[in-house]
Order: sequence, then C-alpha cells, then structure tokens
Amino acid sequence: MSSRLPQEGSRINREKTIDFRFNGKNLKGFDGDTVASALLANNELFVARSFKYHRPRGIFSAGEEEPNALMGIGKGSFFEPNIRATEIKLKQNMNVESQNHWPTLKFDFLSINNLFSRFFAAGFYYKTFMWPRAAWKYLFEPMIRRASGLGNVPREYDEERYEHIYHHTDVLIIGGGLAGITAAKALRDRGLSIMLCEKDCVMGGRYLEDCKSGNQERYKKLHKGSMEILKKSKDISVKLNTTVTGIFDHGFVLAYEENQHSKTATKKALWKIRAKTIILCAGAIERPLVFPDNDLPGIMLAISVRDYLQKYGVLLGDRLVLTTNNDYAYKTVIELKHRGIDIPVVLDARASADNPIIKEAKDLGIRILFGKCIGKVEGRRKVSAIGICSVNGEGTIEELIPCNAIAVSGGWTPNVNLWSHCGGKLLWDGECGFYKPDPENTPIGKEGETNMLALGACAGVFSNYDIQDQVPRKINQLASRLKIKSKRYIETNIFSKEPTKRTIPTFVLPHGASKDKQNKMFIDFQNDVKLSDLQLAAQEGFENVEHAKRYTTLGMATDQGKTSNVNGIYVLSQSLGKPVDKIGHTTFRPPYKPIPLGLIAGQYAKKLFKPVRKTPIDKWNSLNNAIWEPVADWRRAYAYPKGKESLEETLNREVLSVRKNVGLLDASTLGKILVKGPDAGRLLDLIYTNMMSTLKAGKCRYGLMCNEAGFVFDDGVVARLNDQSFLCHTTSGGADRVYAWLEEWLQTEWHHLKVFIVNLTEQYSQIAVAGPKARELLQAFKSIDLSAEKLPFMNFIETDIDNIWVRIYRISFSGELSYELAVNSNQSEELWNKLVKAGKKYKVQPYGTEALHILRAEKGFIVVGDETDGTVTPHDLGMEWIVSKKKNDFIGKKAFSLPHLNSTLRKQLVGILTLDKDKVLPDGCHAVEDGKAIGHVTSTYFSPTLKRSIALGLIENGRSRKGSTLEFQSLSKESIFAKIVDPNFYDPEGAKQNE
Amino acid sequence: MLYLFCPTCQRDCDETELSCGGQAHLIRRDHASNDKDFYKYLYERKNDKGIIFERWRHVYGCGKWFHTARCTITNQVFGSYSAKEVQPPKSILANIRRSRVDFKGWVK
Amino acid sequence: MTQRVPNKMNRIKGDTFVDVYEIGSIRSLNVRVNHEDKKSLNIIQRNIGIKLPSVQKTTEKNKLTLCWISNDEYLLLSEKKENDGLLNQFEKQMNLTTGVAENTTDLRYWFLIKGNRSLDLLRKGVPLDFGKLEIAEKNFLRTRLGEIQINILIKSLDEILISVLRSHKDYMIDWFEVCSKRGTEINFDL
Repeated sequence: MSSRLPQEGSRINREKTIDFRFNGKNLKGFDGDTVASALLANNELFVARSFKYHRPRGIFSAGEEEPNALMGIGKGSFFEPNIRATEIKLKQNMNVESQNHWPTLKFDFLSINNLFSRFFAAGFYYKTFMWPRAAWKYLFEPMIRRASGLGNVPREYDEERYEHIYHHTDVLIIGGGLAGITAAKALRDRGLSIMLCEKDCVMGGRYLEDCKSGNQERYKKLHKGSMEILKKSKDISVKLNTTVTGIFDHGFVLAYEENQHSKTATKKALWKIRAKTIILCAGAIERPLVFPDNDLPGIMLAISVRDYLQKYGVLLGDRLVLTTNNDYAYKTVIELKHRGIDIPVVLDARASADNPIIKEAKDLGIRILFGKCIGKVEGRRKVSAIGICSVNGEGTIEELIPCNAIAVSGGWTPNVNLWSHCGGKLLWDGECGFYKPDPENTPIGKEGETNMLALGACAGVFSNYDIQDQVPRKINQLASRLKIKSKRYIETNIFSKEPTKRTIPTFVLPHGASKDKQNKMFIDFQNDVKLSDLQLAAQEGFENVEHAKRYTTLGMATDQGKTSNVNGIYVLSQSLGKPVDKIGHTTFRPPYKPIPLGLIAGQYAKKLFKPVRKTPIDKWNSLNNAIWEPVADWRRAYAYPKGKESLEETLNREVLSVRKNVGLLDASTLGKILVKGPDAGRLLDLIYTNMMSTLKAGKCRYGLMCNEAGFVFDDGVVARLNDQSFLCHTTSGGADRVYAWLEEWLQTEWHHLKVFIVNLTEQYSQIAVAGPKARELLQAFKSIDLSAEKLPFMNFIETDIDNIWVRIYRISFSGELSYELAVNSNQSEELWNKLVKAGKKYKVQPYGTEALHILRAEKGFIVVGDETDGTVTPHDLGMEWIVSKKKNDFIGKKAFSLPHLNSTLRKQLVGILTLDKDKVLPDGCHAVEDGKAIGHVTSTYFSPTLKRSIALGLIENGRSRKGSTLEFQSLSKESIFAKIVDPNFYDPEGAKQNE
Repeated sequence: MLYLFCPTCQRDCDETELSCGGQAHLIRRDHASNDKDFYKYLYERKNDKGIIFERWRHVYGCGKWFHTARCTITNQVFGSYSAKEVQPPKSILANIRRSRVDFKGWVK
Repeated sequence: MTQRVPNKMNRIKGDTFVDVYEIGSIRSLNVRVNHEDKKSLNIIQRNIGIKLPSVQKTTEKNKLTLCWISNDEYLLLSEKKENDGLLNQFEKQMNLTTGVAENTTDLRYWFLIKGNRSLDLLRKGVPLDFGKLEIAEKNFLRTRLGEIQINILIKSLDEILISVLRSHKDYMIDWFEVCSKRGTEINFDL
C-alpha cells in the first residue's frame, strides 16, 4: 500500500490542500503534487490498463519516461487525453480519468485478451491481413479498434491557449542540472547570448538530492550561488517548464513550454529557437531490469521511488525489495531505511561489489544477496510477494518473500535522443551498457561546423565530481574553437572524488529463464512488447533493428522507448547471436516527448487559421447580404440574394440585369501588375503569346501567357499607360503567381532588360459596370463623354467622377457594353456607393462571381483554371489567333512546334447543348464514346439569357465533332445526351460589346 | 529547417521566408534549339546525393533570387551568390573543396 | 490624383501588454532605381534630398522617410501633408527616367505598436533575429508574420510601425488582439 509520510516533500506545500477527482472518486492532494504523486498518496497504485493485453499497470516512474500512467485530464473543452500523470501538476478540482478499459479500470472486460496473449504476439496485426479476407473487415478490425489504444479524442473545441514564439540565441543549453548550470556559468561574460531550457519547474536536476546528508549544506550553498550568478547575468535567459522536443537542421530547435504554475490559465508555448551552438545536458534515465511479471503495479524505478519520497513525501510501500545491477540504486533503500521502512532484501545481480555504499547499506542492517534476482512476482493487481532465484539458471524459486513494493534499477541510459535528431552518431559503451554520443560524429550546423556538445550524464559522465571537473574545461575548449572571447573559466570543485559507482550490464534476469517466464517478461510496457515477441521477430527473420522495431512495435509508443530501448536492443542481439554494437540502434526522431496538436497550430487556429483577404468593397458586400466564394485567399461575393429568393432566382436576376439594364461587379481582386521601363514591351513580348509591344498608349489588348511546355498559365487584359508603362491584368488567383513569374524571368534570365515590375493589385480597386445602360449610368455623372467615338471598345481613358480619379477601361467579360473602373482603393467604396445611387434610375444590380461566370460562359470566354488545367494549349482552346507567328521568341513558342501538341487527338474546347434543355450537365462529367472517356465538361450552367442549359467542355478532336451528339456520364450513372456546338452561345458577332 | 544567407538583405533567412526554385544554372532553350536539348531543359534535372547548386527566392523579404551550394546529405551550405552568375563563383567552389576533398567541381 | 491621409488612430481594444493603433494609409511611393542609372539617382537627390539608405535601414528628412526594400527598391513614406506637392513633382520626373516612382499609398494598411514590449509581440510571429539590430538607426525589415508578408519600420524599441497589404487588415487586427493579450508576455524565469 502506498501512502503519504507525515512530513517531508521538497515540492509540496502541506498548508494547501487540493481536491481532485480520479475516476469519479473525490481525492485530496497538496499544492505542488503531480497527479501521480497525489494518486500514490491516496493508495491508487493500479491506474491503467495496458495497450494490448489490458493488464493492470501502475505508476512506474516520476518523469517524462512514464510508460503506463497515461490519463485523460480535464473536462469538456479543456479535456486532453494521454497525459503522463507523472508530469502534470495537480490543480484544484482537476478531473482525472484512466484510459483503455471497459467498463471500469478494475473490471475490464477486455482483460480477457491477457488469457489469449499467444494470439497477440509480435506481428499478429499484420498476420490478420492475410487470411481470410473477410475476417479483417468483420472480425479483426472492429476487435482491434476496440481493444487497442490510448485515450479518447476530445469531443469539444480545444479552448487551451497555445502560442508560437521565435527566439534566436548564440548558445542553447538543454537541461538545468549540474552540467547545464556549470556550462552557463562558464559561458557568461563572453559577449554571447545564452538560453537555458529546463524541463522541470526548478533548476538543479539530480545533484542536490543525490548528495550525502552531511554535505547537503555545502551543495546548497553552491546551488544558491549559481542561481544568483544566473539571475545577475544579463546574457543568460532561463526558461523553466520548457522541454526541448526536437532539433533540426541549421540549429533550429523546438521547445515546449508548459507553464502550469502561472496564475492565469495554463500557457502552452512552442518556442522556435535558432541556436548557433547547442550544449546538451539532458541527463539520463534509469532503465528497469527485465524479469518475470515485471509489469505489476507496485513495481517502480528505484530513482522514482526516491523522487516520490524526497519530493512529495510519498512512500511506494512499507515493505520494499530492490532488484538491481548497480551501486547507485542502493541510495534508494538507504534513504528508505533511514526513515524506518522495512527492506526485507536487496537482490544484486552482480557476483559481488565493493563500493562503500554497499557497506553503508549493510551497516544499516539491510540483507543483500549477490547473484540473485526475482524469479517471480505474486499478486494479481499489485505486488504481494517475490520469489528469489539465482541469476544463472532457469529461475527456480529458492525463497518467497512477502513485500508490497519493488524498486528496480538496471542502470542508467544517457538521454541521447536529441543528439541523434539531427545526425549525431552514437557509440555503444559495453562496460556500462548504454549508447552515448560519439564526439567524433556530432550534429553539424549550416557551415558544417560541430554545433552540439554533450556534457554530464547524457554524455555518460555521472559523478558530480567529474561533471564539475570536466564541464569548465570543455566549455573553455569550445570557446577557443568558436574564437569567442576566451576568458578561461575556472571553478573550484566542491565535490569529493568518490569511488566509481559501477553497473554490470545485465538486462534480462534470470539468464536462462524458461519459455513460460519469458512470456511474462515485458520490455516495452506501453506497447505491451514482451521478450518472447522480440525473440519471435528474430526467428521470423527480422534481423535489422529497424525492421524488428516495426514488426514488434518496440519503442514506437508515445514514450518512444525511453525505458525500453536499450533492453530491447540487448534482447535482439542475444536472439540473433550478435554483439550489441553490431546490431545498431533505431533512429530517434522528434518529438522527444509528445506535444499537443494544438501547440503545433499555436495561435493560428479559429479566426487566425487562414488569412482571408478582403476587398475594399467587402463591408458593402457584407451589409448587402453577399454569400461568399473563396478565390485564392480572397473572399468574393458569389451572389447577393434578396429576401426569400432562392439561389437560382438570385442568379437569374443578376444575369438578366446585366443583359437588360446594368450590373455592378466588385472586380477588385483582379491582379494588376505595372511593367515599366524602356524594355517593357520586349519583356511582355517574351511573356505573352501575342504581340504586346505594338499596343498603342491608351489601348487595351487581351493576352494569354503560357509556360515553356506550351500550356496556358494566365490571361488578362494589358493596358498601355504610356510609352514606357504597361499595366497587366491577371486572374484573381494568379496575381502573385504572375508577379513572381515576371520577376523570375527578369532576375534570372533577362536581367539585361531595363524593366521594373510593381505589383499594384491592391493599390487599385476595380468596378465593372456592365449592361446596355452602362454608358447612360456613367454619363449621368457630369462631364464624361463615353461615346463609341470617344471611347471605343478596348480603349481606356483617365478622368474624374465627382472628384474621384478613375481610369475607365472599355472592356467586356460579359459580352455586353461594359466598362471597368479602376479607382484608388481608399476611394473605391465611395465610388461604389455613388454608382449604386446613380444607378437606381437604371435598375442597377450588383452581381457576384457566379453571375459573372454564367455571363462569360454564355459568351464562350474561358476561365483559366476552369477551361484550363495546366495541360491545355491556346490551340486546344481554339485561340490560335492569339499565338504570334511574327515574334522571334516567347515562352512556349518552341513547345508549340512539338508534334504531340499539334495532334488532332488532343482535347479541344467546344460548346455543349443538352438535348433536354432543362437538364444541366454535372460539372466535370465525362463524354463517353465506345465505352471510352473522350473528354469532360469544364463549365456548366443554366443560362438565364437563353433559358436553357449550356456547357463548355474539352473533347477529343472536338472541333470536328460539331453537330454530332455525344453521351455524357457522371457518377449518378444516368446518361445525358448533348450536341457539340461552337463555344459561343450569345451574340457571336460581338455587336453588343462594340456598341 | 534551413537558414540561408540572402546576399541582397545581407542576413540569414529562415526557410519559411524563402521559396525554392530547384536546380540553378539551367540554360534556357528557345525555339531555335533542337528537340533533345529542349526536352532536357524542360524535364531533366540533376538529383545528386551530395553537393548541389540550387535557386532560392527571398519571397517574403526583398523578393530577389539567389543561388546556394548545399550538401544534400548533411545540409552543409557553402555559400550564397547572385542569381545572375552563370556558373558558381570560384570562392564557392574553393569553399566546397576545403571540406570535400573528393569534390569534382561543378558540372554543367 | 488626390490623396487622403487618414490621421485618426483607433486603439486596438483589450487588456494588452502593448498599445496597438490603427493608422490606415500613409502616403507612400514605391521607388525603383538601378544604381548605375545616374539620371534617376540625381532626381531622387534633387527632389527629395535624401541619401539612399543602406541594407535594411532608412534615411529621413522633413518627415520623409526612405526605406530600403532591396538593392533596387525603396519605399518613400511621407507623414506630412505639406510634402504632397513635392512628391507629385518627384513622381512625374522620376517616371520620365528608367526608374519608377509609383503611388502605393492605398496598397498597404499601417499600424503603430507602442510600449517597451513591442518587439516581444512581433517575436510571436516573425522569424527574424531582432537581437542583431543596431537600434541607434531606424531599421526597415520585410519578412513574414504567420502566413502574411509584413513590413516593419522600427523607429525605436518602443515605437514600431507595421504595414500589411490592405486586404490583410482585418486578419492583422485579429492577430494583434489574440497575441497581445496581457498574461501572454514572453518571460524568462531567472
């Protein structure tokens, strides 16, 4: 039974009680508790069900390595699943729920899986795919989905606050333990900016708790002094509660700040750090020994047993057995013994050991058995006794010892994940049994320089004396290598040199465990990977460690194998009969620990999710009931429904008002690119397929641009403003693309041309005034003569309308008499209102993008992106007339001479009229001939003008099919028959637009 | 995430400020070229493992194009230079040779 | 062309750790000039009498600020109505050369950030290393904020002008509201 001691606990404030709920039970903890320490204080040992077999699991650690105790925390819009109970701070009224069980944790129906565990061996999942086919869909998939897994997906929108923060620093120190603190002190006053990230809420890591009680005061003084130096140093910035989760190219680092202590809501920030040099002081993680029944609640890492004791005053059990292979773990039982806790036995896998710490334990009266280990653990939902067996042998039980807790230590694994994220190589240290950073193969920065240095426990240096000895030296070396102000840093070592604490690399005990025992030895707790699974993988031929990992899922859970990795590799090496350093290791990838999805989104959620561009007339559109259509990043008015009108009625009204009276369109999104300079005409001749240099000032010309492969890229009207200047209009979605295209050619190919390009898209707003009464409307304003003589089709003038400067282009995308008014954007709303007011007399109607599309389709005008898809040439569109034969060179010219672009089998633009005039073809539906698709519909509408369905399409050899009837099919399987015609349904002679 | 030097702005740029334009020093083939050269210009790009020369545009900043030499294995960058250069400058090639003794030089 | 320079400044509301104001349009010209083009350079010198700024810097005179965008592109800002005549004259003359002076007043929307945490606010969206700036001179930086392009004119550490495309105005206001809330300041712990 776990419990809280009456005093002690460096992290908790016993004055302040915190109420929380666990699976509906009201429990109490203290301020400063983690969820895990509070659960243990309330004797909640059994807190989870395992991933595959639904076995009872308990809290196994006190940090981010926790494989078992994943919880759903919070409620409603603050609910977050899969949180490690060992990392989350307890808060008043916090709701905590265990996961992966049904109906309850204690009585989990699916724990039946445990009985059938031999069916769930490594690779069972893949084997379910094989046979029989139907079984996957109806049997295996539903079963696996229910049985496996983590927490539930939150049902409500996440209201947590997330943020991104950019930070640049010369040096980033990862970890605020002894190594990190010493490194920061050694680097200060050298003109560098230094950032230190510590994942915990206090600085210091392990070194304060590790000291002998006699030396505590001296160490505390050192720590206090160090903190004062860090505080005073303006060049050092320290972030607590901040875990570095990933290291990427060129010193880019992601760190996750989770400030659970702030007075306001929890703040979660993703720091995007760019560091020139990274100093890794990430420490080490204790790993367990692998023994039979090693996953029962009540079994915990030895260091974590001590953490709960010293930091939270929580006792895992009052009769605790330690099983270990190293000296360091003895500290745990010594601390417990000092507090009067019963330690029936310590099982040391080594044949003997002579470190003074062993004597200290013996002097306290602790019984130590060398060469022994745990052969079995009794207890169904928690530990009740252990059976002792010999290390060598199959595990015959010699003695049964009742106990309620087991501390386990298999030695320490340096935290090398971050070293490996960006290319650092690892070395196998056979003496200690772990991987450590290879100082010869470091991660590199942008200039190929070594940009990471590992210090302290993560580099395999564990003693405080060695750390305080080595770190200043290594930092001084680094400083001279980086050629930074190299004031030598010297620090007196206050630690005394102690005899080395030894670990004899043993991983699986007993060595000759029987099959039956191997079946109960868990290596990866979170993914339920057993010793037998790894052996099976080796047997089935998965010799490469990366393959074995994926086959067994070893280390692939959210804890990324922090406690299981080294043990797993060892087992694999045994099974394959190869030494560990020949096996290699799997690749560590970011994130080092799981981060919430919301953190990746940062502040860019909800209204900041995507920038929506709004036109200068957006407010008017909005007030006048516009429904919106996204066009690239813009929102444009799709239509303006009135009253109870259906959409069909709206479109009908808008189209007919243009055909009969006059309509207004907000065309502000149209791209407008100024091309200016003595060579402007030359550049445009190269860009457009037709001739632009011959255009006279004051005139407009429609142009098409293609890419080098001969495919249409954009189109629009070019206006020549004066001798040197052209204003090129582009499609709404194409403005930025075309601007970039022009810049690219100008900068990288034709940089000898004297031309400048300015993207003026948003300087000018554009309003189309279209319809037979357009001229009357505009002439209602004083002084404008817009007669056909004064302003013929495809010409423009500059003038004022009520003191507002306008450039009036006489161009038409609807086939009607039409003008487009360019106006400075700041005055565009004012002009629009004037036009609306003056237009009342002429029954003016605003029309949206859908009416615009119908109007142009009636005229057979193409829209880039509808009639073209990046594989369509001007010839395909029947626009040979726009491809200059005179010009020497332009983009696409060579391609037009290639045979496949001139084949008669190419799809060509045609008009399509359904035989049943009320039947509108589905957009994109296919024309079918002899069971073969020969083309598709690109635009299709009901034309209010012609009172019938019309469509445009690309059909193989379409122009020669005019007059014939084709069958069109869509997903609805209904065939529609339609006649192929010329793609111009309205006023083919263009009399109206020329009026 | 790369951090590349923009020779125009004289500063390092986060990769998110840039857009990549693929292989540098392509020679445009116009209408007078033969079909084979034109095909190569349109569709054939180098895909070397190791040192490459590539184009970048500082699209969120000055808007200018530049070239870089980069190792695709380690992402080591050997320098940025003007997009007007028709071949890598000597200083860049020397920089590459300093850390890659087996570097054979730039191939058209 | 007539110009309008709105001078009302709307404070972006909320309990914020910096003060953000909407300025609106600032009279501005996009100036393009090739450094070998002596004629254009002369016109700049003669008309507005400002030296061209160096990389990422600005130069100024009589409430006219010339900002560096690229080695052939500058942004001329005028914060004084009285300069309008001068600018019109400059625009006309410049466009007779091979250079460009093009009115871009309406193209962008400007904001003013005030307070000693102004740069901290920008660090939530801008991937630049502000630590490298020499603040003694006014800096002009063009980069991205989130997904949009942004111009940053750093007048001093507690006075920064920001501009975005006018179509991004509402998005930018939303961004300021979300990111400048008090309680979300960037802090260090020691």
